[in-house]
Formats: sequence, C-alpha cells, structure tokens
Amino acid sequence: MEQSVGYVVKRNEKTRLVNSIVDNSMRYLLLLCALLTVVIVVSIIVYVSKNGINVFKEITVDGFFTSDYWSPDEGEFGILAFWRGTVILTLLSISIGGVLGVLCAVYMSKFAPRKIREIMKFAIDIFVGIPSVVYGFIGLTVFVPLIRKVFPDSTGFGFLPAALILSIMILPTVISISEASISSVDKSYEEASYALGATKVQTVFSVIVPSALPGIITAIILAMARALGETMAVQMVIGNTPQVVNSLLEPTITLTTGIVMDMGSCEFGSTWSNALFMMATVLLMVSIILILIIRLIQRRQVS
Amino acid sequence: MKKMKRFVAAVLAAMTLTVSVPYVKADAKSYSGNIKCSGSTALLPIIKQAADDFMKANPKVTIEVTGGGSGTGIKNVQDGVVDIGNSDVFAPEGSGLVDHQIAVIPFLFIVNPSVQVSNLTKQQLVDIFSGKITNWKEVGGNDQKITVIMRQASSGTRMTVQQLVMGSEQFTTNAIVQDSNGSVKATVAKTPGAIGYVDLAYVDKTVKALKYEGVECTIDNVKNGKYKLASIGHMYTKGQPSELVKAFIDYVQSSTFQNRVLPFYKFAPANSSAINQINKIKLTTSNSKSTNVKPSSALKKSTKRK
Repeated sequence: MEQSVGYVVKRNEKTRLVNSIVDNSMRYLLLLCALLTVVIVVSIIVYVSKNGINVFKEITVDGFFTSDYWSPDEGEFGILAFWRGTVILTLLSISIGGVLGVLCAVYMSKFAPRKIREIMKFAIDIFVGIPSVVYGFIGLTVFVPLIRKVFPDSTGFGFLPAALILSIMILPTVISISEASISSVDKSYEEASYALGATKVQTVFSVIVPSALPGIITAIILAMARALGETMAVQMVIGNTPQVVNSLLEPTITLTTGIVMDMGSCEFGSTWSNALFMMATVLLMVSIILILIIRLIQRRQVS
Repeated sequence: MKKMKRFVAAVLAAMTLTVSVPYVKADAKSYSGNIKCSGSTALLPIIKQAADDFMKANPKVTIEVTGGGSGTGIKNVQDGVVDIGNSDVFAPEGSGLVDHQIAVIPFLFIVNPSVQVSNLTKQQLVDIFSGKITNWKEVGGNDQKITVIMRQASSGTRMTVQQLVMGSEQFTTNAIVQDSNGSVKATVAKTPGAIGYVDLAYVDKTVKALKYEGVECTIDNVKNGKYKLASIGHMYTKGQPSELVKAFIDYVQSSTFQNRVLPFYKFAPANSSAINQINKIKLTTSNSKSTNVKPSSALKKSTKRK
C-alpha cells in the first residue's frame, strides 16, 4: 500500500516536471513568435525609411514634395504628381465605394430577409478572394474600352477607370465591417425609437447608423488603407504617366504604381531608387497614421 | 501512311534542330567551377540557353542565371556579387566594367491593326512621340486620334529610342506607360489608334508591325545594316574575366551560337552591321550628354540641391 502511494507521488512529480518544461518552452516559443513579428515590422520601417532618407542628399525636401518635375534622366525627382494621384484616387474611390458599401451594409443588417442576407454574405466572401490582377484585367478589358466609347476624345486610361475598379475592390471591406457594427447596435435603442413613434427608415438613419458610426468610420479608414496601397489593378488602368492632371480621363500616376514601374530596373542605391524608397516611406507613414486614427476611435468607443 | 511518315520525319527534324543545334565542342580543355550571372530579362532566354549548352559540354561547370533587370545586373557585377552582369543598356560612364557585346536586339514600332499607316519616317516618329502630331491623318492615315504607348523611364528600350530616334526631342507626357514589352503589345492591340515600341520577339498577329524609313524589321535587315533600330546585349565583367568566365563568354560569342541560336530567339548576331552605328551614336550622345537633352519645361520647379 505504502509502496504504491510513493509510486504515484513519484509519477506525479515526473509529469509535473515534464509539464513545466513543456509549459515554459511553449511560452518562450510563443514569445519568440510575437517578438519576431515586431522585429519584422520595425525592420521594414527602418530599412525603407533609411534608404528613402538618402534621397535628400541630392534633392531638396521642398522640391521633392512640391515639384512636379519628375525626370530621372535629368536628375529631377519631384513627386507632386504621384502623391496627388494617390490622394485624389483614394478620395474618389472612397466617395463611390464607401457610400455604396455603407448603404449596402444598412440594407443587409436591417432590411434584408435572412435568406438574402446569407446569399450576400457569401457573395462578399467570394469578393474578398478575387486577386487584384483580375480586377485590373477587368478594368483593362471592360472599363477602359467602355470609357473610350463614351468619351471618344480620351484614351480611356486615367482616374476614372482606376476609381471605378477601386470602389469595387474596397466594397467587401466597407460592407463587412460596417454591417457587423450596425448589427451590434443594442436592440433597446431601436425599440426605444419605435416606441417614440419613429418609422423604420427614421430609426435606421437617425438612431442606428449614428450609434454605429465609429465602426463605419473604421470601415472607411481600412478601405482607404486598401485603396492607398493597391498597385496591380491601378497600374493596369491609370496610364502611369508622371503628370499632374485636372481631368478624370487623362493618364496619370500614383505612388504605388510609380514605385512598381521602375523599382525592378533602376539601379539600387542610386538617387532614383532612393526616391522610390522615399515614396514607399510616405505610403508607410500614411497607413501608420490611418491605423492610429482607428486605434483612437476604438479607444474612445471603449471609454 | 505516307502522311504518317512525313509527320514522323518532321518531328525528328524538329527534335534534331532543337537538341543538336547548340552544342559546344568538347575541346581538349575541360573546365570546372561556378559562374553566376544576373541582369536583363530580355537577354534571359539566350543566356539560359547558352548556360545549358555550356554545362552539357562541361559537366563540372555550374552556371547560375537570374534576371532582375539590367540595372540589377550592372549593380551586381560592380559589387562582385555575380561574375557577369547582363544588360541591354550601356553601363554608366566610369563604371570600369569590361563590355562584351553578345547580341543585337532589334525593336520596332507597332500599331493597332485599325491604323492604316504601314511605314513611318524618323521625323514622323519624332513628331508623334513628342506630341506634335496627334492624329493619324497628318501622316497619311485616316482621321483617328493617336494614342502613344511608352515604356517606363528606366527601360533600356526607351533609352535606346531616345538616342536613336528622338535625339534631343523629349517624349510627350501625354502617353500611356507600361512596364514591359508584353503589356505594351497588349495595350497597343486593344487600343484603337495606338502606337508603341517592342522588341522583335514580342510581335505577333494582334498588332501591326511598322516599317522604319521603308525598311521592314527582320533579322536579315539588321544583319546587313538596312534596319537601324536595335539595342545591344552586353555581358559586363568587373575587370578582365577569369579563364572559365571567358570561356563561357567566348561560347556565347562563337559563330555557332551567334548564327544558329540567336535568330531562333529573334536576336541578331553581335557582328551585325547595325551594331557599329548604335555604338557610334552612343559614343556621341554620351560625350555631349549635358547639351543633348532639352529641359522638359522651364516652368517646372527644380528639385536639385545646390
């Protein structure tokens, strides 16, 4: 009897030891993974900006950001046309895709019968999986010729087809996040509104949507980040010409497409390549700012 | 049965053609070692073919071939990362690299099949690509807007077009820019009234090939110097190449490879008459570079640090 008790104790000690070793090593492994992620993010930011900063050895800060004189042959690197293109394109696609997406989300969560909602959710999941080159290809073969037909004087390339394609691409982001946020508005708000005699439309637009606003803004900002960084699909339809345009139908360029056009073939370490790195740094900073804004909104929501 | 026999004969002929053409004679000396090269994607197919042949003849040699673009090739060979940097543009002045010219890469102007014009002179091309002429009727075609399709600024072909055709004229800014031969061809094929330029290897039935100064772009016309638009394929080494690297370059420059393999990939041999002309133009433009290119616009704000 005594013997068997001793045996059990011994075995327990053994398992405890093994368990604690497994436990500890697992903990360190997880810590390592977490650390690795942080290290990767930080080193990308450091690497890109370090190379980018070098451009200011040859180019003035003011000239780089405010001049539209982009002519690498002559050593001129003004990125006005590029960042202006990115800003305009992002705003255009947000104003088309954002509005469409939010309205779609309102319909899905408050008006659609269950069956239609399920079908729509499924459709949006498929949406997310479409690679951007496919969007670009559709833009090139459908939108560009169509625009050329409607406006025979234009080439069909420019902001317009890019904005149309991007608005479609950001739809799933806008819809799924704002739908989740609208659906999670407390039922009591809705009931209180009805009790006060409001109609359904009144309830949705003056009670539910305002309550879900932080979530909707988050959706819009995430969609902006997506639009900002999109390269392939935009490159195929925007024309990629480094010029400042005041028309939706003239070829122009964005930061991402400008980088991708020349990154592969210009010499690493040259002013040209550093200018591209600086453009990447600008993009990186803007998306960091966008993420910080989302953080801020979420924190306010909690408190 | 007769048909069958003919078919078999054709297949056999095709096989012998592809298998036996590029074969290096196993000479008395057999090499061993490792060669690394990187660079131009335009030259990639022929360099790969040459590497395969050379390794077949010298089993102890391994040759690693990667792309990356001409800029990468030049940078890599300067840094000593690779033994050979392949490039379809000249290395920058004062880089100290040794130039081995291995091929002539003909390029030509292509238009959308809707365009009636089939020949353009140098002056007409300058006017079109600088934006002075914007309608096909001004060069003898029908009343149709011209859409210019360009390569990106870092493209070797674009630099060559600047030197050989444009001279001191600047390209128009109102053009669609594409970043590869393939996408230029696809865009020209799909855009009514479009004109662009691509390497000969990329031309197919979806686009219309233009004559330049009345001469059709063919390998023969490049060889005999009648057709003048081409870039030069270079293999750059840092200093004089080692014995092994030299043997490989010698193989690429050998008449077997030059005359039998290159035309298969739509390249002309390096001893084509066109090459001297291109080299001469390169020499004169690089000597007077500062005065050659007009500033794109006096109105634009310069970005340079003083």
